Amino acid sequence: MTDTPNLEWEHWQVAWRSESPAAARATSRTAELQRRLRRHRRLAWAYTVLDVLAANALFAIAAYFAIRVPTLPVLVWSISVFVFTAIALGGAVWSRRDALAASADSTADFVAALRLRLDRRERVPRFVLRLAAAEMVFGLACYAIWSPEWLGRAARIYGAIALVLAVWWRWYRGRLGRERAQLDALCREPEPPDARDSVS
Amino acid sequence: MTSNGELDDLLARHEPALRRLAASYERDPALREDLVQEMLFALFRALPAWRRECSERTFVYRVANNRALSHLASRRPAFDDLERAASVPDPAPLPEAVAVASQQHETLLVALRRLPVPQRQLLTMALEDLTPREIAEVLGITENNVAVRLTRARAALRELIAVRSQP
Repeated sequence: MTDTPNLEWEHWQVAWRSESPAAARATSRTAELQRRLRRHRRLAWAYTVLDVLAANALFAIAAYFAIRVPTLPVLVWSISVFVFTAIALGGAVWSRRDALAASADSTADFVAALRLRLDRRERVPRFVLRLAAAEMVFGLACYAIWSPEWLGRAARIYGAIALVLAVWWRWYRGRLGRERAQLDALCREPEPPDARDSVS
Repeated sequence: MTSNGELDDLLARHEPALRRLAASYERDPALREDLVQEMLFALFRALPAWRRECSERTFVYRVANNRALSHLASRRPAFDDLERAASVPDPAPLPEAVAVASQQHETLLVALRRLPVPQRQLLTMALEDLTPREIAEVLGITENNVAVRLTRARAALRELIAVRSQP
């Protein structure tokens, strides 16, 4: 393999094509792939329907409490449930839109899309967490003004929720960071030999 | 590109190349077969959206390489492998078991798997006789860039095979 560059390349090409594992297998697989695609689509639709059902259940609960206990704190809570559920539902359906298509972009565009998706997966929950924090502050202010006797209990409940969310956010960001590092490692171009020499 | 016969033809035409491509990404035979199936499925799903704005081979290799990248990215235990693959080619001798099986194909394949992913993608497509223009379209880089990177990748592969060939 060291004769001349071209001969060497031809050797490599012959070696490369000399064996292709199980390539000779008969390939009448379109029907099989179509079945798989139908299963795939059914599953994607099932998840979407489940999301919508869960969102409707939350809407119904919020509406029930808003009608039964029409006080300001309950109304604020109901509205926040409506808003967060609508955002979450929209996000879930939007993120599933890619499930039915495979990327035929160039590698560079595909990697850029993966990075963009990672950024969005960080930005969306961050936005929702900020909304939740704002809602908690607003809720506590409402309790302080209109129901001081409930303020302590509400503060404890909000504190517990905030703690759980903070732990989850820390774990989630760590996971995204690992995925980002993995993607960077995969796509990193090796340094040109000159650059390596100058470093060493 | 809608009739089953045409789809079957297309898949059959490209399956051997996809199997070779999958072999350069995945050593484990079971995972490799999974990857081939995922590539074929991705191709099948992407076909309806193909507007023939690029050649058939370009389209097939785009879908297959993207699927392979996703496959590598989703392989959690292989993080160390990825780190290694992303670094400068590993100069350590290849495993003894591989040295015993002295087939050129296996030697080439093992050397390819040791290269960083971008170099591996370039070389596998060049080995499949894709033109620099097609490779550039698959990777989303310029033809000049392909030429420069291919020269480096071939040197890296040569180095790895030479290390492998040393007694």
